Amino acid sequence: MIHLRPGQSEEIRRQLRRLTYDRLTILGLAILGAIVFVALAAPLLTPYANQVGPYTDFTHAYQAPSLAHPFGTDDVGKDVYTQVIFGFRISLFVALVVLLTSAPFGVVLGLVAGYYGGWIEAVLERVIDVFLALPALILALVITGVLGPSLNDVIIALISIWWNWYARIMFTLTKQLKNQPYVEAAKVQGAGSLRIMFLEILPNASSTLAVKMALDLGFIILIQSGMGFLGLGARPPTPDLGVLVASGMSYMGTAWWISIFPSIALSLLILSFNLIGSGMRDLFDVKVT
Amino acid sequence: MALLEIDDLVLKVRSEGRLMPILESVSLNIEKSETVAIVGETGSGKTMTAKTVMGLLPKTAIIERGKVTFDGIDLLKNGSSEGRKRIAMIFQNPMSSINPLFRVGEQMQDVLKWSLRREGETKVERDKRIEAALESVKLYSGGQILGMYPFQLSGGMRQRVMIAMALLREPELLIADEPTTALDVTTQKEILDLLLDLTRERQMSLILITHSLGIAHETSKRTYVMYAGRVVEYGDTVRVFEGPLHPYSQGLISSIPSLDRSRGMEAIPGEISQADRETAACCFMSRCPYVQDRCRTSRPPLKEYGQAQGAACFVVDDKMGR
Repeated sequence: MIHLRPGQSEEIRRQLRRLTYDRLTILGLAILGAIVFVALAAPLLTPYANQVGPYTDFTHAYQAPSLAHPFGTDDVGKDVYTQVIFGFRISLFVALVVLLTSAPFGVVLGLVAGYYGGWIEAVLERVIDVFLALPALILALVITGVLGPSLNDVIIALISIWWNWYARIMFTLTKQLKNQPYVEAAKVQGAGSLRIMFLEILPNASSTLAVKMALDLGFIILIQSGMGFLGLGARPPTPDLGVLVASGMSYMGTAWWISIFPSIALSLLILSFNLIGSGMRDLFDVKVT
Repeated sequence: MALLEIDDLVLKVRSEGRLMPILESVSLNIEKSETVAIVGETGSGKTMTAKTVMGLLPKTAIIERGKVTFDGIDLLKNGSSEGRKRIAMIFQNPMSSINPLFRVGEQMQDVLKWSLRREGETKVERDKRIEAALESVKLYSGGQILGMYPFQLSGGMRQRVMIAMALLREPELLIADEPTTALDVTTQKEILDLLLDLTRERQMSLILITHSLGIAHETSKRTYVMYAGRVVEYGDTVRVFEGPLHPYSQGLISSIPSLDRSRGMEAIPGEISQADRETAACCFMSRCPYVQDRCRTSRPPLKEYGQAQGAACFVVDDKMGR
């Protein structure tokens, strides 16, 4: 239950105004809003919803953009526009699932290790060093190489990589924040370890984590679609944006629309997260690499 | 029996594989509803003494020897939390001692909800206790302050809020670690007066940690002077102030600026070094104007002279001792 105190709604409005003061942030929010709407309402926005998944209609293959097919049709006669809007669903789903599992896991781990220190800290640090020594995409490729290419395996691979970043960030923040005088004051007032970790330290780390998460959504989508593009992630006929871009590559000279429209869609999606993330970074004045 | 008794406390901190002495045989006691000042410069060990009492020592700290008892409860053993519940502490910097993200009311509610839980108490009843605590530190706002964030309060108000939070547990002993250092002079006076009023009203004991002998003089009944992790002088505040025995206390007092121009301000040359803390001889020898050969080889014991005043100095011993 949220109670608004007098003045609180005013305060929220002021914060929103600050966030939206930056035009680029508004642009990012607008693009993302539109994409989320299109993704949620996808079956209602196309007459070709039946063409998602296994479907071929060679009589309508390679059709240039027209009123009936605004983004044209691909090599097997599917409507590209329909594939793209369903592709948004997949990208957003993967990004959210990966983030909502890896971030809490990494944060709790980093918090505990940073707070207690000792051998937990030593073990966690070495594990993270190993993971972070390799670029995320390469690591994801190795993991899916072992597990086999499918969307589920991409999700598993990304989760197993992504928690490291959150563990590292939270670990560092905890080390800084646990020496704050208010943490000591809370101890004197009888706060236990759990309360200090989750009510004193974690809330004070939240702005940094929020910015990191916003920026990461775009990055996760980039890697996930990159893997689809390389044939190591989702496989056709899954309407993954990376898969869609790859499927049109051979026809760039004759049917450019098969690759170009999914590429633009992907760029817009990633751009929107980056704009929002950097807007939040300016708002909270935090440093995230 | 004293309310809080620290006896022969030896504390070391492990650093780069070495054990650095922090407190060397510190003994201190405070009676019920007594105000005691601990005076010393930065690095003299006053804060570490308080942290030992509150159980706030870093993990690298090792207590080699000594006892800390509060009303008969050993605070260095398990089960010390029952004793610590009756002690409260406030800190030097009120600006950062309150979590910046939560409203004053929420933080005080948290303290009551988690640490000082009373069965079946409602939020409204807790709010009453909070209001009462805020009123006893003279913050009358009709509940307005509860909805404010720390950054909306002035330094003096924040220190009052900290004191109010400390009062929630109705402590028998309040440790104030340089409570006024970060405040301007007029606010300083208000906060000190408030602390004194509270100790009087509630028959609470107060340990005031300060580097200002002036503050000690104004507020406390007895004073301990610490130097390099040792107590070098203790006694009735008026006596320590008017007739300091230890050369360090004398130096401290003559370094108080005076309005009388004929008497200049004399600083004590040098500063506390790590060697002073580690030496087996007198810790003040490197800065002492009266230093003798024996001061460099053996350590002067803390001895009591006359009316409850004591010092650790060979020169004093020659003069006063029988």
